[in-house]
Amino acid sequence: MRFEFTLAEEAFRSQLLTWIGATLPPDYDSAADDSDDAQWKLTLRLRRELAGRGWLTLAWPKEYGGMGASPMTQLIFNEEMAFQRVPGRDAFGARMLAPTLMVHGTEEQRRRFLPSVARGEVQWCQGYSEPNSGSDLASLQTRAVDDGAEFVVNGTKIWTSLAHRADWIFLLARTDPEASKHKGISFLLCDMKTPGITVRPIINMAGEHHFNQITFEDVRVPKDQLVGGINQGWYVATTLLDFERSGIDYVTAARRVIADLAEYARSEPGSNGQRLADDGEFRARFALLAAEAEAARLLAYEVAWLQGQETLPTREASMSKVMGTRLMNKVTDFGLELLGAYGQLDRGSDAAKLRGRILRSRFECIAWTIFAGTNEIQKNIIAIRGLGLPRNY
Amino acid sequence: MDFGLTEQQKLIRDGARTYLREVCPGAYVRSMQRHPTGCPAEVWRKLSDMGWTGMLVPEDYGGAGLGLVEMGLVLEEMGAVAFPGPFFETAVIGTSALSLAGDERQKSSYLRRIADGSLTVSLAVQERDPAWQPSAIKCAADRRDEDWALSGEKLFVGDGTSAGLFIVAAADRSVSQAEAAVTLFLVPRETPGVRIGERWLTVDHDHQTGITFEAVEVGPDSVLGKVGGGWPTLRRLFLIGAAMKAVEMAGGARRVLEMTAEYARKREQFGKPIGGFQAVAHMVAEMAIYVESARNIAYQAIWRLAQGHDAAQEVALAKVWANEACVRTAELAHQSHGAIGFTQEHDLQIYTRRALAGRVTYGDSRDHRDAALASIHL
Repeated sequence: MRFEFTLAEEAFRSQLLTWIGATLPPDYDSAADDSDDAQWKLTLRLRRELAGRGWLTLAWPKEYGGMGASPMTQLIFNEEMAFQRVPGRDAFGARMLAPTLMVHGTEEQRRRFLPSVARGEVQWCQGYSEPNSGSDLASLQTRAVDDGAEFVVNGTKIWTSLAHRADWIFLLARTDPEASKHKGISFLLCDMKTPGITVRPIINMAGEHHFNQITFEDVRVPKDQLVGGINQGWYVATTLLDFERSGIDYVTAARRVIADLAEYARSEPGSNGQRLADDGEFRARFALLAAEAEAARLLAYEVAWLQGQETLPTREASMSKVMGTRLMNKVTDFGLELLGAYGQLDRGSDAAKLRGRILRSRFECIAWTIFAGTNEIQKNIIAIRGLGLPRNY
Repeated sequence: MDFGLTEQQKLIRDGARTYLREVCPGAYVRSMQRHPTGCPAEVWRKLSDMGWTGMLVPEDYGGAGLGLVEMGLVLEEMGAVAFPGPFFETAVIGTSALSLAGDERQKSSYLRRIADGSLTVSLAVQERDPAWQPSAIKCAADRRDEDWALSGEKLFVGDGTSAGLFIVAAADRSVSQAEAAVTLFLVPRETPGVRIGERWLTVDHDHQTGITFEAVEVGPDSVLGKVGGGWPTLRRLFLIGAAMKAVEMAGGARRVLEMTAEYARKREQFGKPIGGFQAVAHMVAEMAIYVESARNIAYQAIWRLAQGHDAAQEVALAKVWANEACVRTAELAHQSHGAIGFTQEHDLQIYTRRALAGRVTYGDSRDHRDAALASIHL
């Protein structure tokens, strides 16, 4: 038992913080709409800087040019990047597609696709969800029909984050409609410039453009862009990968909001000469949130530790996701109550507190309990795989 | 970060689990509710023989000289079977108090007797205002030349009905500053003027009571630590007590989770196990999150204390979260069990009662609030 990081881990954290301090522009507004073009340019610039330092591929094995960092070191990287709200990380290419190719890709596919991801030059997006296939992902209906040297893809993908910025997409498509639903799916790589692809923006309830709907109409995908064999797509997509999946981002975002709100409560004059920080009700709620945040943080640490022990923390990772995403909803909602009437002011209002970020975050995190496997799906995993309850769907 | 156990720690945990499961089924817990001490002499002797009462006692005084993490592993298992009796007060709090502040003579006399199973100890701190603050200590310590006279009352004295030695916090009325007024006294049960009340009716059927001190004369050799130096010791005991109570509570919640998962696998309605309904499965999953998170945060606090750190913030966060998580776990367990869990014959109520008692022992969430808030600079 040891509840502290090693000296080497702490040294890495310091090095990272120094870099963040020196690299993040002084006028950087982390509350800005990150779907703005200017913000996206910054994301790309920082991504190339991360690539230059090897941190974009921190988790990659050395044989693929990565740093072979432990899950705990990856966690530290993700924790600080999230707490300092630094843009530039690459979830879809570096953290999702790359390890998939390392396990299931051909040598030619690795040579072709990994280097550009490692340099931070290519944006990938993930084509999994469909209008009629959400939690029941394996029911997906996008078809890929064998036409000699190519597959012909028809169908619709939805909630595709960054599709409007992406150069390439990795997607799941049905290649055998006769087989049982998990066994007729293939994993394809597709250039977003291929004729027949249409990207339609979907504006979220916060008014921001993150995700999209993509239609594929007779899109031709060369067969050398099939990963892991025909009808093996479900297996390819669900392979449990070694990369850190502790959920540290969720709880860290929540901890940062708590820190911002605490600073606000200290500095703002409240009513009748009493600071918000001295208000008994708010103090009680702050204390419980701080405790829950610490507990959630340790759960994420535990996941990374278990991964470092070469075990698969399926149950713990689901617990961490549920706890962290729910906590973010709690703290942002508490934040709006702490701000009172000011809480309704959006970014851009002169009188808005904390740049209107709490309201933005309150909206943004509504998605968190839904994406990457809804919290209900996570609880099914905990119950069935973790506690031996009968399968319930 | 390392969430694992050493081989020795695994042995301690496994040994505790095996013994406690055997000795302490629900029927034992129920019979101990009527027992005068909550622990029969032969069981207490066994705890001593296994080295548990002396686990924290240094080897020089006949103990095992182990640390708080090892003790936490035992307490987690005790929580898992709702083990009753004066173990916590004696082996954790009494031992820590004497080790922290006792002089050579006190340690040599009392620690040896804790280790050999011939002495139980109880901490008498709380009063009418049960807050863990120096200003709440009104029990008076008046100087009589070299001696002291203690007058006042103590409430919520855990295992007070049977303890052989009380550690009493009293305030010197001639000292105006509340913290500097507090001195700890070692008061044997049979000291003239010590009036021990009837056993209270409590949620956990435990052995708390109130004690009245009527001009109890004690000598200078009864002072534990320095005159006027009682508060720092008490504060440390409060932190140790809270962290250890948190892990004991997490152990209880773990058992509640196991019971509920088992029930959800076996109990059938509509022709299938109720665990196959998501409404039930999701409650059980929520319980698992509470249990795992409460356990982790408790051990973080214990580990920090064991390293010799002040750890006030980690302890406060741990107790606040354990208070929340373990009571929520009990609620979800009741909802999952339905009517059977509401009966006296079912063991679930034993754990629910314990969780409610634990929530206000060694600090409720209000007592820990300021230290928890210090972690976010509030």
